Formats: sequence, structure tokens, C-alpha cells
Amino acid sequence: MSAEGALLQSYFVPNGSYLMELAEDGSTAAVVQVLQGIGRTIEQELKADAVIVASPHWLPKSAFFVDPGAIHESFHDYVLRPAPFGRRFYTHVLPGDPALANALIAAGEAEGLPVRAKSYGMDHGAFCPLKVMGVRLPTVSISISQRPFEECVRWGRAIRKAVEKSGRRAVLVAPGNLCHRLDLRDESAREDYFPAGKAFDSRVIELVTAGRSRDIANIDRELWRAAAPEADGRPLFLIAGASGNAPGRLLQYQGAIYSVGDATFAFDTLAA
Amino acid sequence: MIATLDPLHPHFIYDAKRKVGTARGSDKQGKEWLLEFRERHDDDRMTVAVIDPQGEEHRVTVSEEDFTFTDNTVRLAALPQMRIFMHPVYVKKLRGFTRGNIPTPDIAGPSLP
Repeated sequence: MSAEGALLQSYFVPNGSYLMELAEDGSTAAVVQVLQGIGRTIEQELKADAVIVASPHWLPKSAFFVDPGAIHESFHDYVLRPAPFGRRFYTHVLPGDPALANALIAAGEAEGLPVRAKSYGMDHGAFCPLKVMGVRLPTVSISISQRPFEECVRWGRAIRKAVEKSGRRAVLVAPGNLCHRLDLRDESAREDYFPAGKAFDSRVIELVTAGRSRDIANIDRELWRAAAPEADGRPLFLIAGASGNAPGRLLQYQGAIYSVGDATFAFDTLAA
Repeated sequence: MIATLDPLHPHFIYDAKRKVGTARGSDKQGKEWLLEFRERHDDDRMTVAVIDPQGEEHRVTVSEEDFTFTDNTVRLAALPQMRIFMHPVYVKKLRGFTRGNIPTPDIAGPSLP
């Protein structure tokens, strides 16, 4: 591996399994079109040669995990139809990048973080956005894990260092939703949005676009509990570490099905 | 033995209200076993209640390495008498769960995981 790698861009994107149905049905919804546009950007403009994807549904507690497999097969981990909340069955297979995966593990260990290898594959939190994007690049599947926020930031920094050393031109995709109250969702809601979700999402968008993603940790805990962000907001801490606290560009936002905050952000990588 | 993929009777569900994952499968005699994943500990070991076809509960604390998966069967080292058949889609879902996956909940709660 050469010494001219770069973390080209990081993305925070929605990962709901409904996106695959919308894409398959040719939807023109912004949430889908933006994802498809990101896919084109990654492959045609950035000319990336690897993707690192951190699923918000891979949530072990003891460590951060990296799948060093040469191939990643999806497994189904969402509710199957019937509607309203069951979705069609989808699968996805992507090539892995074992050398980059092992470099991430080594970089995490060098940082003093609990990082280990595990054969896992891809759950829908990883494969759904990549499938909708249409990206076919070698991919490293990593966990978000239930670790402290500051460890997520350090893990993001370690990932960036490993990429820069690796010679890869990589992007980081860390999916998640802002408000994530699936117990309140209402498929028929078109105009209404959960007030606490709206307040939470607005505050997060304000902080992320100002380059203050880590300050979301200071959001009022009652509001945080009411919004229950996916993976407890950890994808944004991971990206903050990887991008050098870069401000996120809001590519689209919708308060969907009453209680799910679908936001898409792109982040440059700031000079260390 | 062939298990069918029936979305109305899934072989693995996640209840986000109770924070419990439940797998069900049938043994060679067609009798049903239930596995309730009641807690994931900080070291990623899991407390599992295995309810055999007679209704007896076997409570074990296990790690992912204690499970053996084939395309359509699941075994657990702590209970060698258990060999259950599940649909391959749900075998993979269960395997993922033992490795740290929290699926989209079948029963939604106010927070995840």
C-alpha cells in the first residue's frame, strides 16, 4: 500500500429498509435521489476505491468490530411484509477489502481502543443505503458499537489515519436517523411531525452544519430521550472524529412518518 | 426438515419494549423450542432462556461462539440436546443478533437497542 491515501468524504445517511422499496419502484423522492446522487459522486467524481460502512444496527458493547472478509453478504434484519411497516425481502453482496480492514484494526489498537475482527456481513443498516446508492466498490463493514461518545470520536480519527496510510481513496458512510421513535410512527402521516422530534432534529442540524457535531452531547437529556436518535447519535460522533469536526452539508431532510428524522449530510475532511 | 418463510410467523423477532429477541425453531420431532435473549452484557455475553418442548426453562449465559449455525439449523453448546430447524433467512438473522445486531423491532419501543 502506498502512502497517499485519503478519506475523501464522510456521509450520514438514512438507512430505513423502505428506501429499497422506493428505489425499486422508481421513486423521485428526494431522500432516494440524494442517495443515488451520492453513489454517482463516490464512483464518478471522487473516484473512490473503497467504502467503509458503519451500521447503526451493529451494536455490540465490548469493542468496535471490523469485518475483514473478502466478501460481505447481507442478512435480513428488518420486518418483512405485510405493510405498513413490513418491507420486501432484499439481499446484497459486496466485495470486501481485507487489507484496509486489518489496517483499521491495527490503527484502532494503536490508539488504545478496543477494536477487534469479527465475521459479520452486512445488516440493512449497511447494505440498504449502499444498495440504493448503487455503489459496488470494495467495502469494509464496521460496527458502531455501544461505546462512549468520545471513544467513537477517537475511533473515527483512527479510521482516517489508517485510510491515509493505506493508499486507499476511501469514503466513510455512517448511516442513522435523527429522531427515531419507531413506536410513534404513522405511515399515513404526511403533514404532521412529532414536536419533540422536530425540536431535536432542528437542534442537531444547526450544530452539525456549524461544525459542532460533538456538541449534540449537550442537548437537553429529556429532549434526547424523547427523540431517541438511532444508535444514540454515535454515527455523528464517529464522523466528527474522522472528518476533523467538519461541518456537514445538509443534502436533504424530512420528518417522515410522524416520528423519524431522515437527514442526509456530507462532510469534507479537514486538514489535521 | 424444511421450514417455510412465513412473514406472519417469523422465526426470530425483536421486542424493543422488553429489549428481548426471541427465536423459535422445531426439532426433528416437530416440537417447538424457544430461545429468549434477555440480556446482552458489557462483555457481549448473552443471558438466554431456552424453553424446551416440555415447557422447561434452561437459563444460560453464553457467547456467540457457543452457537453453531448451518444453513437451516441452530445448536447451542450448553444444551447439546437442542438442535432446531429454522428458515435460512431467520438463521442468518439470529446469527447476526448473536454477533451484536439489533434488528428493526417487530414490537417497537420508545428506544433502541
